[in-house]
Amino acid sequence: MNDIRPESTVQAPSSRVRVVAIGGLLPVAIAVVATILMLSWLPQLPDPIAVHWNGAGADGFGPAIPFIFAPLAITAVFSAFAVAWSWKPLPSGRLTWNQKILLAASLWMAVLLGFAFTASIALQRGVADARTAPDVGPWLALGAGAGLVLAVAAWFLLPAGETVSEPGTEPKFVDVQGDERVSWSRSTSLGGVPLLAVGLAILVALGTAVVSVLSVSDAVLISMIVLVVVGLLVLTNFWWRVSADRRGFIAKGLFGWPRKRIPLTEIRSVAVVDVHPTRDFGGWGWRWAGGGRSGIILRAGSGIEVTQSNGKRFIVSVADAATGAGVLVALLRQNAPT
Amino acid sequence: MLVRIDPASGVAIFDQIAGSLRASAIAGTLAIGERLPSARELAASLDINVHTVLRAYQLLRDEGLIELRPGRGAIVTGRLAGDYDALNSAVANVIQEARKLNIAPPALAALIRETYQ
Repeated sequence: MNDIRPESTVQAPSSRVRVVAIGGLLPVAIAVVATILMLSWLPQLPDPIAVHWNGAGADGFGPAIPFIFAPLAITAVFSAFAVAWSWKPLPSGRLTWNQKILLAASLWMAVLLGFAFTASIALQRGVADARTAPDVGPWLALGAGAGLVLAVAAWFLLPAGETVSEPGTEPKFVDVQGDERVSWSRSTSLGGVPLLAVGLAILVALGTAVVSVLSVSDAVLISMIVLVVVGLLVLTNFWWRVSADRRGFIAKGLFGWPRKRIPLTEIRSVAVVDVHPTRDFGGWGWRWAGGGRSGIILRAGSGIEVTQSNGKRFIVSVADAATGAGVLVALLRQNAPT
Repeated sequence: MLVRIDPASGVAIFDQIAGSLRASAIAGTLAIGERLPSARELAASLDINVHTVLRAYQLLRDEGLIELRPGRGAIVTGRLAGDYDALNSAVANVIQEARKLNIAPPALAALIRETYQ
């Protein structure tokens, strides 16, 4: 029977139990079982063991013990992070979509790592020379698949997802008379901590590129692509111009692209909201959140929320959102058939 | 930045745009360093000729409020001389009083214009 309870009885404590069990205890338990299994096979393993494979066969070798404990260590850190991130559910006891994704990912990763590492150790039992160790590829795929099944199950077992929309201040009243034309626009850009994080990401990508170029491996092309993609993402996402005028609500990036326009005829309502970038959108830039919400999120604080006629909501975080929203409201009023 | 024009007002459009931007600067919503939309962008936004916007921008440049950089648009570089706090609160008072008496903005504007001369 389906568990249908009124929302008020879904309390934060019971949510937390499920969060800890599904996103924390279960992943760690899977990793512990995998570790015990691998340890029990330790006497039958070659020394060193194969720890890395390419398409042709084993190409990386190392001692067994760090390899055996790696999945447990990674899983413990990741699931601790996922649980800490979700420690405070919403007042209704529900989780934000980002919290749910993170918790399900924690379980998925535990299964994937557990499968891949345990299989690669199991395949090396009784092998005298690690160079002849069989390929672990198929097990990796199987682990990813099994992890996905469990993650989907976890998704439905976790408390329901909810998009939060905190009302901010009222849109400012903007008076528009007769045939007057108004145009409001404002630039909004990334600043502070997120900018620092982005800078760090670029440095890491750059560092990876340099290291891989120096070590002359096949990774050069891949790291160059990563660098270009990260660069493009930053350039197209860190600065936006938001405007409200006769053409509707428009947001466009530094080069006039990407661009998003909602014509006045497709706007159902306009509100000023309070935006929490990490909690509501899981980061910065052009983001998608669950529940038909997307937006351009560059800073915490006030934002303009436009509800489209199809029910989808588009949010842009921008200073002086009250005036921008007020202009949209005035334009809608001016446009309305009398 | 809020620009407002009324084609029926009889005041030249470029003058109205410049006036709007000056008002934004006085009210403090146009900060130094803020990039104004390009003339082409603002013209499309208001459905007017791009040269009209350029004329307004050139006027404001000559007043030292903005700087025009080829290819980079207009950037707010200066502020109008003076301390506008008292003026801003006086304007707020006038508008509050006008709302109480149901005086529409054009009538209020006309009143100010005539008293000013």
